Amino acid sequence: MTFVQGDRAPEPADETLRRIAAELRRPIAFDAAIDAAALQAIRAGRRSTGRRGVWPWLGAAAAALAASILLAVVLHRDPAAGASRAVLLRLVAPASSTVTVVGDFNDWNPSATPLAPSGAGEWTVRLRLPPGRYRYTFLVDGREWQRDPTEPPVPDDDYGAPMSVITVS
Amino acid sequence: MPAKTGSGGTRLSQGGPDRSPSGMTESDAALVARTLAGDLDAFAGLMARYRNSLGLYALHMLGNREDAEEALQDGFVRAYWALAACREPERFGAWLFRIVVNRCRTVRRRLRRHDHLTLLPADLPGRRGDVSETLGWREEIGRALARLRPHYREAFLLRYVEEMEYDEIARLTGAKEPAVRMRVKRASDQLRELLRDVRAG
Amino acid sequence: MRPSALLATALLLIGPALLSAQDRRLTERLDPITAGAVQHLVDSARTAGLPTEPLVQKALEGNTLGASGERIRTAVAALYGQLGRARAALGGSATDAEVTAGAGAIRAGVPADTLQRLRTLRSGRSLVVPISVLTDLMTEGTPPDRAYRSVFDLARDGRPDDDFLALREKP
Repeated sequence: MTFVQGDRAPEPADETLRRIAAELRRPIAFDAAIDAAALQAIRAGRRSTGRRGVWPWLGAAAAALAASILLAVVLHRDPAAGASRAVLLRLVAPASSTVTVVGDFNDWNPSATPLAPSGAGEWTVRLRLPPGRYRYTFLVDGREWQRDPTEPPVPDDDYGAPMSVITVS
Repeated sequence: MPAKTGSGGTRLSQGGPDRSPSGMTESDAALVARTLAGDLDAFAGLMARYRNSLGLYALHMLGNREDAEEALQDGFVRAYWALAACREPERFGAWLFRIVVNRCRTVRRRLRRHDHLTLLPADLPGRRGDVSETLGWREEIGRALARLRPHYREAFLLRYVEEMEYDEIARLTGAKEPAVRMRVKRASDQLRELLRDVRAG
Repeated sequence: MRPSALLATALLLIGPALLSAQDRRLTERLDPITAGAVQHLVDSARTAGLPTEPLVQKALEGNTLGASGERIRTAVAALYGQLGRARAALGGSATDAEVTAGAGAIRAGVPADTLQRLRTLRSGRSLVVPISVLTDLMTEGTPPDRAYRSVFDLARDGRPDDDFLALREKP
């Protein structure tokens, strides 16, 4: 920053205070990592840095919060985005006794999101998901992976399981 | 020695042209406009522009670097999300400073003794004479500042380090001008008393 | 060096490490070696300005699907690379969701400069849906040139997300 010589600089009246002020005005360098951390928080949609309290309390609660914040997409760019949409997942599995879904939206937890029978061998669950792209698959009777036939198949070259993906706009 | 400009703002409000990372000179108003249009690199330029001067205030106000960095970083993030509310983008610096002042008020001070000792000799600008003496003088100032009431410390820093006019300080802090003058005077009296016998480096 | 300055130096050096905490989901569900390796990638991603949650989800996916630790580490490392390339292609202003979608596209064979072009054609709006649709088209076996052209045309015309989604409907 450039400064213009002015005649209105407030100066303390006495020598001691002048020296104090002079010392306090000496520039100090701060790490550019601060800027990087702020950008990180911004990109993740966080409204504040939340630096305090991350350690040692980053447990399940904070991790879940981080997951949901990540899924909350761009806000300044597209005002319509960021709001969750209702998504209905369906699987026809007449001979089954339990069906659950695992995916990027529930930490791939096999017991977190069960589907309920809705008649005629059909199982459904309604989710609210922020805009984004989610991989998921169904677990039938606790032992068989089945992809969602109503969505495009995704070749899972990572783990070789039947996989689907859904895009929420 | 930095002096006030003629525009009546604090030295921070003079967000004049500066080199951005891309090498082009851009005013604060231009960088704000680009940020609002979705360009995060422009916001990075604004942060780089103000990080040191705002950090300096936060450091003296809070007494230790870690709290200062937190207040600064938090201020940056909040400024980003509130950027549309910055009505005078050409005075972005002053607007951002207000946010950081508020962050400093809410950052909870960690209860540590000798907080100011996190300031390393490497942080200090090169100076003739004995570095340990310089560190001692700054330590003493830090200690003395820490003993002031927060309102007094804030008023003193805004007046004599940020070089703001009393009416600006009043607007920034929400206090009435006579109260601001009183706080600055009390702070000055206390600092003078605390540091009178300390030999300056 | 004075003791207080020594302590201060130590704090400055290890402080940042203390601040990046462990993700409990990794330590609870993965073997220690895999959890450590994935955590390391997560920390690197955070430093590099890349989204971290997709890496955790990829690890948890492998855990649920019964993959070996080595397979999980390989998958997460591959995703890390794809996220990095997506970030490079989409730029510093891209959101985490866009970078995540971009990683999927790169994995499906979409070239980085195609993503860059999409960015310039649709600069004011989220690219999550266009990139996702492009990925789906590629995965389904649509000839790449046709897939790019369809998506570019919609982007150039400023069409909304739903128009992109409609590209995937079977004719």
